[in-house]
Amino acid sequence: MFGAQGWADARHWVLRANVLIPGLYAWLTTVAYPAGESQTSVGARASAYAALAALVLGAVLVPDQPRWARGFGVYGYVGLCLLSWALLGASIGVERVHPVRAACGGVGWALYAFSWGSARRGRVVSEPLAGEIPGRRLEPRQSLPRGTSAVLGLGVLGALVPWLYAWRITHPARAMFAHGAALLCAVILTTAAAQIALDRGKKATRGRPRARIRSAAAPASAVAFLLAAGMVWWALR
Amino acid sequence: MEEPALSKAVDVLSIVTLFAAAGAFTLGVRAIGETHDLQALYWLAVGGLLLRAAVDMLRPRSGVR
Repeated sequence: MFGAQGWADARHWVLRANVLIPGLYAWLTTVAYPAGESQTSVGARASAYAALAALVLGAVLVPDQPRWARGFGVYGYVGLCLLSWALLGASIGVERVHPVRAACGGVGWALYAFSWGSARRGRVVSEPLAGEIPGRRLEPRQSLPRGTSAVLGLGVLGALVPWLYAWRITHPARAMFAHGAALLCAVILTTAAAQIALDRGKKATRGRPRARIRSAAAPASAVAFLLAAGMVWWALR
Repeated sequence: MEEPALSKAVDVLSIVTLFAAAGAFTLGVRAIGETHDLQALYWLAVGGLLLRAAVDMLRPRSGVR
């Protein structure tokens, strides 16, 4: 029903949609909305639409011309979005940005970055590449421990909480400071979650349960001391 | 309690500690927004220590037996 050519075409369209949809979402939430306002300059609006054209061109070229696709879809698109923001000036100031739309835009740009990362892996190769070793694909020697994705997913969700909370801060200077701190916290939390998710399967390096609890005794004691000190301070205030 | 069950309980405790660290970091970010800098430092320090405890529970240092 669906020949080899049909599957190749279907994969091409999936690849195109995979890079187009997140980029389009990021563009709609962070570029199109401010550029579409009535008092926007012609240059800002033109660069916003040129960014959209570069994205579409990149998505069209991604299966067959990945290097050109990257040039248009990543460098051209991001560069033109930056140009549009620069020309918009004060109209995209922190005090005029809607928190929910800005948070959605942040998620959109993260998805856009992931989509171009997967585009490189998912590229359809019609002929063997020079230097490619023929034969079966090399399999990893160990499989990931059970529940790795769940633990990592929970960690990422936990990391999103301080980052999303930072969008609720309205004071411009404080908001900037809070975003920096929240981003740092999110990176640290995601790294720790990845470490925990992977180390759960390493029996050789984990040791006995009592040793593991003893190992965490020093930071846990420091937390207990800080919480006690905080409660005393709160009671005396 | 048997060792595999205890090991699983420590795994769960580690993940709960990770969540507690996320909560402490959120309180720190909120304190930054409310211009309570001392409180922000306090909660960020608590979050950092909780995170360290969560990771140490999974990977004990070589000296601990």
